[in-house]
Amino acid sequence: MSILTIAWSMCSAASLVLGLMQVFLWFNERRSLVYLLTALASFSAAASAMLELSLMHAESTAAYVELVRWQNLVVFLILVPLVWAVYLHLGTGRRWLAWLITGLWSISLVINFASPGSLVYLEVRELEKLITFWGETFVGVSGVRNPWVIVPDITSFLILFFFVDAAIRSWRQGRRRHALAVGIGAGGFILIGGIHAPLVDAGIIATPYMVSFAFLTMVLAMSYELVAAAVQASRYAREIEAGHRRWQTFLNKVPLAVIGITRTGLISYVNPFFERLSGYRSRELVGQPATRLVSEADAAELENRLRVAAETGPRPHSQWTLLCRPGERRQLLFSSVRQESPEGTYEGLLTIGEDITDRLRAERELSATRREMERLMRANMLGELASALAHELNQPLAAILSNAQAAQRLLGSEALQPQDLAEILEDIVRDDRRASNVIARMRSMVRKGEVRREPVDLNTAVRAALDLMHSELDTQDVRVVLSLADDLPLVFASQVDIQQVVMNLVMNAARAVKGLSEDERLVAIETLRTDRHIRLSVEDSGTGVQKEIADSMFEPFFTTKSVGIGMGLAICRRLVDAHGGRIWVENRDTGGARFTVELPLTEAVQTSDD
Amino acid sequence: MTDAPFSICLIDDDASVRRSLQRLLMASGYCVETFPDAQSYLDGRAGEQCGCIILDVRMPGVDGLELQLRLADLEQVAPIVFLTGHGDIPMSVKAVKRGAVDFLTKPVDEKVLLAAVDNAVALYRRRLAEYRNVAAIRERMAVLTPRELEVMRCVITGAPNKKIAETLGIAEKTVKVHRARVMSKLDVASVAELLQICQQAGIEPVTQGQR
Repeated sequence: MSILTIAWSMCSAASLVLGLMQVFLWFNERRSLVYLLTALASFSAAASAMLELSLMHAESTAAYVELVRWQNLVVFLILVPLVWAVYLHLGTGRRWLAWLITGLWSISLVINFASPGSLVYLEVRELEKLITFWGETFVGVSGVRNPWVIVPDITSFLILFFFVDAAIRSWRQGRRRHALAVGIGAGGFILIGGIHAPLVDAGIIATPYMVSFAFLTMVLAMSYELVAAAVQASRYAREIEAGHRRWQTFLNKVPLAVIGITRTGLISYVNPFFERLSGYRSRELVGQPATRLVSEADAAELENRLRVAAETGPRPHSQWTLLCRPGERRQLLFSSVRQESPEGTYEGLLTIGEDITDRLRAERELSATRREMERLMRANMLGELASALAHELNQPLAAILSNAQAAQRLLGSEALQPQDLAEILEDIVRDDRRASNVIARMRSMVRKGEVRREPVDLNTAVRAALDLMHSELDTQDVRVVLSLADDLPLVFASQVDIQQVVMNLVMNAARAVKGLSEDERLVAIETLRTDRHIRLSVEDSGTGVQKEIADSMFEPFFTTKSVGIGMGLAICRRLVDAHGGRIWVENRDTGGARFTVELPLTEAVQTSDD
Repeated sequence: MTDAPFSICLIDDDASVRRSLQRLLMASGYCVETFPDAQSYLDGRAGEQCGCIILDVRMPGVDGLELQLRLADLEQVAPIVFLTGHGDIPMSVKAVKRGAVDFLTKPVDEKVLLAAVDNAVALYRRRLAEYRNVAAIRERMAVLTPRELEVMRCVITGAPNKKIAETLGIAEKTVKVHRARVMSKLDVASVAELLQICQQAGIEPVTQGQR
């Protein structure tokens, strides 16, 4: 058996198998042109090996020339696809070089078929019987070398440069494995093809052409690359499979509705939870328009939203009422994301919905309870208010009635003194004012904000309030000390309100000093102007206030007295607040409490004061 | 019975109300004293009697209902008329159960007020007369000796002298003497009359087997 025949046949078979593998890979992934190019190079290498074997046993010079012509075509079909395969695979080859190589080899082919001999020989003179070192004979030739053979030779160096350059650049980019494979492939190719073949051509060494082996190294390197890529791909596939399983478990088990919607608004996916929630099977829904999940009234809005989502992206959250099969409606809060292809084109929406029906119902019930409680509280408060109103109104009304009836009686008697009648009428007028003040005050409490504001002199308000309380303070033997500032500007306020505040504070102070001996029952009222405020303070000589209750004192219904409903200070604070002012309480160093009211000065009033 | 005018005490924390009611009552012929709260009444007037107390319920310090209890403890016989700005039914029931004559709400018409005050004063008169009567009887009985008192309590049981002597362990003759002295000291003509004044004075007969 001939060793040459065995070796070249094996080389051909190996190339053929590698080529078939590439074709198979290419079938699975049509877009990878690399596989097709490598397959073409591999098949060509297989053909090249067979042609070389034929050359070794050529029987005439004419047959030899013909075989060499075909051999050169096959070499073209190896080199050019390989160059482009490397170019596509590494992505680092120089495109112009690849084109140059392609062009030069095309020229070479034209020369190959145009010249009388072939690309290598212009004329083959005779066949020579050559002997290998192990004693096997094969055919060599002697003849006139074609000067144009320089073109493919130069091209070979360009190819070498192309491969090495691409490998180095790839290496620099950190893709060392690819670079090494291509580098070794190119090295073997150069070693065997690029150096050996010209030496044989020149008749320097006597071996058969071994171009197919040179190409085989290159084809092997590329195949190694591509098979490695396939292995990598299968590892990726396993990882993707694991990831897919993870997501599938999530989608199947999560108590959230997951819906996929295509860019045309059709349902592409629903998860099992959604099936249970809606009562529809997945196969009943997939392919249906998403709008059938909502009521007709909502459908147009949903359609609109889907269109907007396709154009500018979905809203992050939206709430929809879902129509379920048993005629039930459920509220879902959806979060949606745009789904895009790797190229960035819009493919549809993925949306996750939380069933908030029960939560909404609970919230509604809670707020109903809260409203009911508020209503009850208001009713209670109104009751208290009505009771307070009744109490405060009945006092002056009782006094007026009794005074009037006393006057009627006096008119019928001879003992009538005009002075008595005058006093009675005076009292009636005062009590009537008192009653109307109570009403005005209550009204200002109930309808706050509707009070009439006017420039008010705080000092006047203090004096008016004291006039109203005169007899009250007299009977309690409370002495009031006034210290009113002369230069007090007017404040824009409600006269009634300010008077009310003064009265409440003085009343409180009077009660605070009640337990003291007569000459200690002292209430001091002071007014003064600060930078931007005017101040009223009411001090008493009582026991002061405890720190813990200093704040709650101003809450409604807070009282330390057995009588009264604890509205006095609450009213004060409300009125002062309505005027943009402040009210607070502190203990005096000398004992007793000091209530201070601070009202803001306004520009307008300050000028009107001047 | 005497017709001397009784003063009326008015206790109310509202000065206007006090003054107006005082005028009205004075114009109707009453003598009126006013107090701004319960304590000042207790301090100034509690020892003395008056014809009627007009009392506010809600007042600082001791309120009306509490004052009513305290006056009862002090054996104050003056009838109380409550006058309140806003009373409720439980409050009025409580007041009347404790002996208040009336429970009026402000504003009160003079007719209603005066009728209540008149009633109260009339009641006070009756109570006073009764009180005085009892006081007179007790004064008369004060002159009886212990033994005479003992015999008297037996007599009003209706027992004959013999039985009384047995009960007290003395001679029947002695019983007769004591009995005659009791009748003359108390200036009564018959046992029936004696029984009546004993009842008024609250003297109980000796019950069987007491000794």
